[in-house]
Amino acid sequence: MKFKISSHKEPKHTGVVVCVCWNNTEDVFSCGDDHKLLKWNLVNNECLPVTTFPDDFYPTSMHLFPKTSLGGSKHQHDVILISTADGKFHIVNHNGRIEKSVTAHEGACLTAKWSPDGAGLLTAGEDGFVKIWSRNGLLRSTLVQSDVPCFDAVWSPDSNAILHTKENFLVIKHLSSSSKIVKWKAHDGLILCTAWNANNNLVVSGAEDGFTKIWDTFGQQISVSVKHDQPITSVSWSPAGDMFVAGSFNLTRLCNANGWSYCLDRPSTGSIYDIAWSMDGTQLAAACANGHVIFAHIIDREYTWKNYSCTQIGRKVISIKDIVSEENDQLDYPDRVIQISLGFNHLVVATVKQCFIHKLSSWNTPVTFDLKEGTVSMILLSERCLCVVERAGISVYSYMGRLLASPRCGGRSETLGKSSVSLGPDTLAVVDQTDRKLIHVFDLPTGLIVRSSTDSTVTKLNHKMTVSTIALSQTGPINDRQMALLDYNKDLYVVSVKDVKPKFVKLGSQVLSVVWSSETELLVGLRANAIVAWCCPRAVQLDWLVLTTVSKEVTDLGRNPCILSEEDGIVRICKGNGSVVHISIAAFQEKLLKYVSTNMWQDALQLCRTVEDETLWACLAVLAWQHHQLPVAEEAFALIRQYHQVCYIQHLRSNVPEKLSAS
Amino acid sequence: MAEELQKVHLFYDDINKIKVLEENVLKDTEDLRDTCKEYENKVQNFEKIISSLLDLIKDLGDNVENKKMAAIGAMNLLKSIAKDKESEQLKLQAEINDKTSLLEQIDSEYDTLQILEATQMETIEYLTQLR
Repeated sequence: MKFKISSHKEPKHTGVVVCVCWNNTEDVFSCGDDHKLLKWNLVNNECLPVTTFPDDFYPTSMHLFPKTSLGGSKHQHDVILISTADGKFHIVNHNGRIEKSVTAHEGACLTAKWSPDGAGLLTAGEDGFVKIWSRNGLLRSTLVQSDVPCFDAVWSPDSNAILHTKENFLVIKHLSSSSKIVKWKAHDGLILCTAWNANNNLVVSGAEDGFTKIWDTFGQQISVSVKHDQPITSVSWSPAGDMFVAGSFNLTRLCNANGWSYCLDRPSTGSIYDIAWSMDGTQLAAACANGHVIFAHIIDREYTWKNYSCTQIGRKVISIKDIVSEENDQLDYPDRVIQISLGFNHLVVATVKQCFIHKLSSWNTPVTFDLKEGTVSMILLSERCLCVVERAGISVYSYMGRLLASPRCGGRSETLGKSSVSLGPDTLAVVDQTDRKLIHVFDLPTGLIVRSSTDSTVTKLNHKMTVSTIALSQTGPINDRQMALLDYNKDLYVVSVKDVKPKFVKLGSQVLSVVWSSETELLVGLRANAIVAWCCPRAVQLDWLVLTTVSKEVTDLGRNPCILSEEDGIVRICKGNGSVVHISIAAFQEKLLKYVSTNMWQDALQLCRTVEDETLWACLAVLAWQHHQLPVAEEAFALIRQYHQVCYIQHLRSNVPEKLSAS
Repeated sequence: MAEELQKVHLFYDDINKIKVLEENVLKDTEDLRDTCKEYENKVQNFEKIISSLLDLIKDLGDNVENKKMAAIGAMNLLKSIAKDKESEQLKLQAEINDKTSLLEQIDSEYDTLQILEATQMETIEYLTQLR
């Protein structure tokens, strides 16, 4: 993954560019010390002056009113908030007319930001004050008073707290003053910039000591970057929260959320004062000290699935390769590619306007459909359908490009992370964004009858803890659909979503990441130093669960490892340092599960007899018992020395044969 | 007659033409005139020589100035080369670090893939033996 950087030949600003922000996916505003507000269009590569402010107007930061899909009157959109060096903040409409100017601070007003819900704004100044204002510019409260300048302040994603810098310290303060503040020493130098991501709830900070550091909201350090020679002047999270970019003198660096670096660029631009990501997370704009505004988009994203690999090699070009047959091809698109997803024998590509579904067996004839809005943040695939998460909402399509459902889950869908949505072949599960203990499970229409979105049945599951990750099983009939969930205590639970009274069965604790096999009902979890495979997560008895669980030790996984996928007994794990590890676990068990799912009991028995593995026999025993295959279960239970079960089965077979044959 | 004329400062010359000046004075005057002309010529020559000399010196001065600036520039360049080298070194070092970490990532991926291959070969061997 790397940046492709572009800029106009001549600088359009005559002085330092101080701030940039995105209007929509193709439009950027920039403002600099030449008092000009410029609007850049990336499609036709234009740069138009919007307005020229008075001569004493020296901007320090700029923020566009957050675009929420729900509520909010239309005229409130496109309202630009600009803070200036004379201590004022200005509310400017998108034509460049100053609607309101409010004196906020003594000395310069260093930053001004709308709250994510759009209800208010904060300003921070050289006088060390952080103030909260209503949307119309009336002072609500002075939240922070100190004697040192506050260089940066940001809202928490839920708008209930703010994070501000205080020399070397970062401070989180809740708006309700009763709750205590969290304050920690973050750097050895003055902290210049911070950012807080809504998706992963992590904070990144950059300081004069040349480090960028990632923190959780309790002030624990997640990772630290390498030392840069120059102070870090800007940081920005990508909207999805999977990476961030840091700007410094003549330098931009793209890093993973775990802190390791994807790429380093050295454009000769002077210091980069501000960096902003586009809403779709594929492009960014940076304000440079030499009067340039540079644009970068991410290319070289790589995706692999089985024997296919595809790479985005340009803004509109994807190269795809079949490694086995050595067939390769370049796919050109009419618009910029935003999201790519590869899996389940399909390649799905979302561009600004359309979505292309390529079948991997014949990738030159894609099915296309139009998108509602050009801000696709995620594409999920399953065996029968695909799910597109846009700012306008979630939509589920079939692979023929037909809209199956557009479930409403409330909340803003652009803050949905990968871990809080899961798509099964016939179900979609979403964690509620406001109450994270609640999970909505939507039944998707299968077959040929398309139902309207209103009568798609919704099941609500309520967990006792805040849910961090959910995953739906990928195979089996809908009545057996299971969901694995991880809560904030890192406990793993499994629940059958179609049960009348859903019961959360705890499978284990200290599980960091979890994934279902895409072809069987094998659940794989990752602990700090081991991989665990639950072959029969639906086994209700605890001893059966223990017998059918395979565990394998793995060392030095680093911080925050996660499982990427599981296929044919091979688990792909992304380690903390970014390297992908392939580990074989439960290959025979998965084979067995495949036999069982197609009712090939003789082959299953044959496999067990050949391999002679205790866990494998236990799996077969439990599965045969669940599927009422008593002769098979009898043999299997005998081999794992569960003699009471053998006796029970023999009793059943001899005493109630008529019922058995009926079933 | 000649004496009388001499009294009013009139003279006869050799060819009996009447003259205002005495013969030897006339000769002296003419001599003076010629010498003056000669002197003038010499002065003009001298001026020419001097102006060309001035030009020459000026050229030389310009040249010297140019060379001086070039030398100062070169000296500064020399000084900054050391600094450039240092920053270049830092840049390259940062790049090396990046590439090293990338190499580490890929190396460990390769290692696990090799282990995976080995376990798969083992399984295949085990299964073929059973046959």
